Formats: sequence, C-alpha cells, structure tokens
Amino acid sequence: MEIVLLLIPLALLFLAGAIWALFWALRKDQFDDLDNASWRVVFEDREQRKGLPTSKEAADHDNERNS
Amino acid sequence: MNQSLTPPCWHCGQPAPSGAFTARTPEGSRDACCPGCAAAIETIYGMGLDDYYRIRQDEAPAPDARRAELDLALFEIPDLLAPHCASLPDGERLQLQLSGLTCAACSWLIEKALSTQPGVSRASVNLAGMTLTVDYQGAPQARETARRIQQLGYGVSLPGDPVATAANRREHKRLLGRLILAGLGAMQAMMYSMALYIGVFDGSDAVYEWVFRLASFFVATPVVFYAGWPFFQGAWRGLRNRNLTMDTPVALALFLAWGGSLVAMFTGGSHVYFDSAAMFVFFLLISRWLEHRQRQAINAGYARLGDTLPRAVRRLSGDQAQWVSLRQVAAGDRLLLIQGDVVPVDGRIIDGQGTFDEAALTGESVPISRGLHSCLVAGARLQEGSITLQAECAADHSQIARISEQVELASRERLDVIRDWHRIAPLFTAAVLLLAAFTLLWHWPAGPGEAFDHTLAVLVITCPCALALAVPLTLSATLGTALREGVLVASPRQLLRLPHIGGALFDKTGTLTLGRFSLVDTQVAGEGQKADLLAIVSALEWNNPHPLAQAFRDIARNPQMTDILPDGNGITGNLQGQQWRISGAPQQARPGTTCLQLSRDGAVQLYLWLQDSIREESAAVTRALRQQGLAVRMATGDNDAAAGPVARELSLEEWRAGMKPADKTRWLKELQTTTTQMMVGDGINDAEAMLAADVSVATANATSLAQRAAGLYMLKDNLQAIPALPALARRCQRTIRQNLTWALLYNLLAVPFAVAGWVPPWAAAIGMSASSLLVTLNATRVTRWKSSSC
Repeated sequence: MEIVLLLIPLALLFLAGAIWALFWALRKDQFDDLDNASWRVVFEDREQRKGLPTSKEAADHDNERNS
Repeated sequence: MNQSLTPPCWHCGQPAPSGAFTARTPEGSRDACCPGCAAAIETIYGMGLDDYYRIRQDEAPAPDARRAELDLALFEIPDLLAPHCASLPDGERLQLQLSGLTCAACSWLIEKALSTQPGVSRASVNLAGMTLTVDYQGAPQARETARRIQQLGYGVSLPGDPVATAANRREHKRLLGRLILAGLGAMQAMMYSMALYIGVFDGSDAVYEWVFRLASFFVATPVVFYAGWPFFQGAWRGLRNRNLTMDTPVALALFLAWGGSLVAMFTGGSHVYFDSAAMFVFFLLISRWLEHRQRQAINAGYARLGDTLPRAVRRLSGDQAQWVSLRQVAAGDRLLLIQGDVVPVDGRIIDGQGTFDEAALTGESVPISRGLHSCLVAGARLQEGSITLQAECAADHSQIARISEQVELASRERLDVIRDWHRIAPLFTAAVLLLAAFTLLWHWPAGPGEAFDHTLAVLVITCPCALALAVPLTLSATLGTALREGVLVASPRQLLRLPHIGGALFDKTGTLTLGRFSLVDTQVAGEGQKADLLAIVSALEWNNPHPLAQAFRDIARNPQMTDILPDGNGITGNLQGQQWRISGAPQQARPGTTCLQLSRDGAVQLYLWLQDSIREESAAVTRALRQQGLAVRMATGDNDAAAGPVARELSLEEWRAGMKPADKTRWLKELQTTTTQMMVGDGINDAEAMLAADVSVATANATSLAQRAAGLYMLKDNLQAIPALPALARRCQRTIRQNLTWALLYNLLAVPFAVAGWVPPWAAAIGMSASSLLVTLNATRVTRWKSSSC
C-alpha cells in the first residue's frame, strides 16, 4: 500500500501536465477549425508526390520574380 | 420548349450548353457555364492546383460577375479596412469574411492561391467560421487578395464588428477551458472519492484515507474556484442587485461542500464532498456550454448574411467618381450608379434613366422604368442603364435604415429568450434556501456535523442540473435537426409556437413564386421554326445580366451568332449577314407578364411572354398547411392581374394585392385578433409584418434584412421544409415537457428524504448525475427525427 503515497502525487502531476497541454492547445487556437487540418495532410502529400514546390518555396520564388 | 441535354459546368456543376464557354487546360478543354467559371478553371489549372477538382467533396459556387466589382471596391476604402487590420512585428494582419466554401478543398485552394501573392507571408482559412487571416510583409494589399479570391469563384467581404467578434472568441475560449478543467477534475475527484465511499480504509489505514482526501482536495479546488467562477460571479451580481438567481444556491452549495470538506479534513469529519462539488460544476458548465454554442451558431448565421445595402458607393466630385464608404455619404452628394447596383440611399435621379427592380421593396414583379427627377428609395436595384443620384439624406436616415434598426433590435432580444425559464429562478432559489435552512435547524440537535451533512444533501439534490439541462439540451438538439432539414432557427421561441399557429400569410413575389422570370408563351410572327428562333434569342441573351435573360439560360444557343451588342433598349447580333435584335414589346404585354420581341432586319419574327412563375412546391406546401388546419392567405404589393392567377392556382383562402408594407402589417394584426399567424416572406417590404407575426419565416433567396427579421429562415431555396416544422416543434415540446417533468418529479420525491436526513450527500450527487444523464439522453432522441416520419 505504501506505493500509493508515490503513485497519487505522480497521478496528480500527470493530470497537471494534461491540463497544461489542453490549455496550451486552446491558447494556440488548435480547437478552432477541426475540419481543415485533417484534409491538409492529403493535399500536402499529393503535392510532394508530384514534386511541386511547397507553398512556401513557391511564394519565395514569386517574390524574387516580382522584386 | 427546346431544351437539349446539357453537360454540367466543370467548375460549378450548373448546366453548361456545350460550346458556350470553354476553359483551356493542360488536360484538354473543359466546359464552363459562364466566363466567370471558365476563368476560375483556367486560374486553378494555371497555378497547378488542379488537385482541387479531384479532392473536393462538393461543387464550387458559380462566381457572380455582377457583384465582383462592387465587392472589390470595399477593399479600396481605408476607412472600412482599418478596423480589420492588426499590426504584426514585420507587417500587418487582415481578417476577411469568405463565402461559398463547400469543403476543405476550397480552403486549401484559397490558401495556395494567396501564398503566391507577393507580400503575403501567411494565409490561413478557418472553414468553420469561413474566415480568412492574411499576414502581409508591409502594408496589406487587400484589393489584390480579394481579386485573387474572386478569380477562384469565391465571395469575399469584410467581417462583422471586429470588437464583438474578438470578445466572443475570448468568451468561447474561456468557457471551453473551464469545461475541460471541470471535466478532467470531476472525473479524477470521483475516482478518489469512490475509494473513500466503498470503505477501502478502516481505522488502521488512516494515513491513506488522508492522502486520498488530500488528492481530491487538489483536483477539486481549481474546479470549484476556476471552472465554477461564473456561478460565484453570478450569485454575487445577483445579491448586489437584491435578486435571487439560480446561481445563488449553486454558489452556496459549492462553497458549503468545499469549505465543509476542508473543515472535515482537518477535524477528522466523517465525509468529504470534493467530488460532489466538482461534478456539480461540470454538469452545470455543460448546460452553459450548450447554450453558448447555440447562440454562437445563430450569430455566425447572421454574420454570413450579406448586406442589404452596398457598403461602398461611387461618389462624384467634379466628373471624377471615387469609391467612398456609404457612411460618408451626406445629403446633396452625387452618386454614380451603374447596371446591377443597389440604390444605397434615398434620393432623386439628376441624370440618366434606368429600369429598377423594386420587388424587394414593393413586391412588384415587373421592373419599373424611372427617368429624370424621379425619386428612388434605397434598396431598389438598377437593372438597366446608368444614373446619377442625388442623395436626399445621409444613409442612416433612409427609409430602409428605420426598418433595419427595428430588425436589429428584435434580433438582439431574440438571443436571450433561451433563458426564459430563468424567470422561475428566484422562486425556486428561495424555496431551496428555505428548505436548506429548515434542514439545518431541524437536525441541529443531533450535532453540527450531521446537520451539515443533511443540509448539503438537500442543496445537492435540489440542484437544478437536470432542470437547467432540460430546456437548452432539447432546444440544441432540435435546432441541430432543423439545420439538417435546411432551416436555421434564430428564435427558438418562435419554433415552439408553430404547433399552435392558426394561419399562414405568404408574400407572393419571391416567396410563392420564384422571383425570377421564365418563358410562359411564344408566338411566331414571321416564318421560321420556333426552336431555331429560340436558339437565336438564347444566343443574344446569353451574357446579359438582366433578370429577364435568365429565362433563356437553359435553352441551347445558336453558336454562329456574332457581334452581340447591347444597344440600350435591346440587344443586337449578326447571324449570316442578317441583323437580329431582341427588345421589349410593352404594347403586347398581357396582364402580369412582360413581353419581348425578336426581329430580323427590323421585321418582328417572334413574340415571347415571360412571367414570374409559381414555385414547383408551392401547391404541395400550401395544401399540406391547409391539411394541418391553417388558413393560407397571400398579401402582395404586386397588382391584381399578377396576383390573381397565383392565388387561384394555389386555391388560397384569401388574398389581397397592391399592399404597401404598412398594409401587410395592418392586415396581419387584424388576423392576429382571431388566431396566431405565421408570416412567410422574402422582401424588405415584408420585414415589418414579419416582426409583428407570431412566427416569421424568410426564404433562402430573401434579402438579408428579411432574413434578419425572421425567426426562422430557409437555407435551401424551396419551401418544402415549412409543413414539417410544426411536427418538429411538437416533438421538441414533448421532449422538453418530459424532461422538465422528470427533473421536477425527481426533485420533489428526493427532497423529503434528504430533508429527513436519509440521503447521504454522495448518494445525492449520484442521483443528481443520473437524473442529468437521463435528461441528456432523452434530448438526443430528437436528433433522430426525420421530416418524412411525420
């Protein structure tokens, strides 16, 4: 039974961690749009397979051309 | 009518008669229905984003070329943009409102298209709110961003009041945070308490019992004081205003349970109730959360409604037209209006002439021609021609502004009615507090510890949890179901009134009828086949934004027509050396119709009669309503000749024509003296009557003013959902009644036992949770309702 004296504080620590993580996610707008993120994976995958530049590279390229 | 089978537009899925417009892509040519769609297809392929067409789950909206320029104008006026900009360390951030997004593929497409815009460092779309956030390096190039979005075929505008939106988001996040904390904390506290309740520890393990109690203290304290803070706040606010709210016993029970347990922990009392307190907070927060979500869904629906009046206008200074915001317009300003514009402010024509569609204002289905010195009312749409308008007043003094104000007021009030049942709160609260005090006094002789236990049990068992959940949960489920059926419920109270409605008053133009013209009759005047002549008409009218031209959209076109040019009163074109012209023929018009003539080198070949025709489902809908015992009537601003045939075809009980907005309201109020009335309409002229009606419904094609005025509005452009709504409302009412009965019955049965001291607080907490759960499950049954099952 002595192990309870260690496990309970440990469980409380885990709980504190979980709550901190959830609040972090909330602050970072992770719960704002649940549909979009799940699809983004599909698009980015297709892009990479086609060897297209990612959006960031494309933007840089465009900026160079325009400047 | 010659209507050949047409392939769908590659972009929007509408019929695209082949050869009309084609978009050239690396994968061959694609059929498009209009130049806008063709441009969108070419843009998307041009950027290498054609994956969009493979991944999307729904067809794209057809770009509306007519509105494009006006929408872009918004982004040229710094005054309008400023509230939506925020500065970043290395640039600015702009918030925009999008429309027409159908799935995640749309948001991907927009983000991609913007990421190649020079100066844009990041673009992210929120699909749920249909908002777009763009970060710029340096000054925002809003117009270019808007233009790109439009090119893809989506609508873009400025979002609503940024301060209110931000405040709303903050509240939403805070509440979600509280809910998460309460949920996690309550589960944990329950877990620790279970061990205590089932008596794992006998006297020898006192130290473990102490550890478990301490652990539940640690998890329950933030739940009570952080997550439960709104209840303390509410109770305090209530007390300061000398008002008993539901929050008062809740706050008292929370504080007693928490404080009492703390005392028991240190004095070696028999029980701690940290878990009861935490569960209590969790269940109450769920109910708050549901209410909040409901309000948000309704608000978001409103935010997406378009503006009734344009926000940007062309003001003339000298000969130069300049875009300014409508708010800057003062009496005496000269404004330039071109085809497709909506009159932004009451005024007088000082130059030019045009045809105006005033259907939204008067209900008249046929456009009216107005010339020099005629007065115009804000809200009318210029169909043809271009004019200079002299404003007679500032925009917020127009006639329409007065109606808007009333509507805004009504819609704001509406959001609070969910809390209707809170009126019984003070009575309920007073009763609970009296009972608790009585229990405390009664059991005092047995010792303060026991008296405290029993008082707490009374407070927990009388918790209005189930009572608080009963109404919001059921409404939330019902509103969700209604949304699935294509009806947005802005006023739950109006929905609940539906089963007791005695009569329905319909508007005609745009409500019982389509609000747009279709071909009803033709007469060949020269030689030639009707089908060939219609193909010529269709070719001439193809790219004409005039509402009459829509009647020919689905007719196959003669592809050899060239040199198509509008000439003021008609359109001419060249076909194999002969000049064809289509123009109005008012002398041939029959009552309620508009007549056009097609001529070849000046000789009339074909007469065409067009009419605003009755919706396909109108007959079935009015019949279904009659079967439910409603008296179906029609009030229209249109003339007798146009209204009569409609009323006869739908065999309406009674109808009146030539009604001004005030007449409609008066008639409605007259009818209301005998029985409650539902008003169904679409125009600005219906708004006043809708506000007065017991239940008001706006159609999907309605002006945004009418939609705001309505308690319910249709999201699909048909009336089919209306007859099913009373059944849904009845179902909702029945569930609410069941839930309330159960919650009250449980309280009434359990309270005597609690007062007598036969219920330990932990049993009270379990009973309370079970009761809430039952109510929740019963409410979710409403979501399984289907319109076909009634």
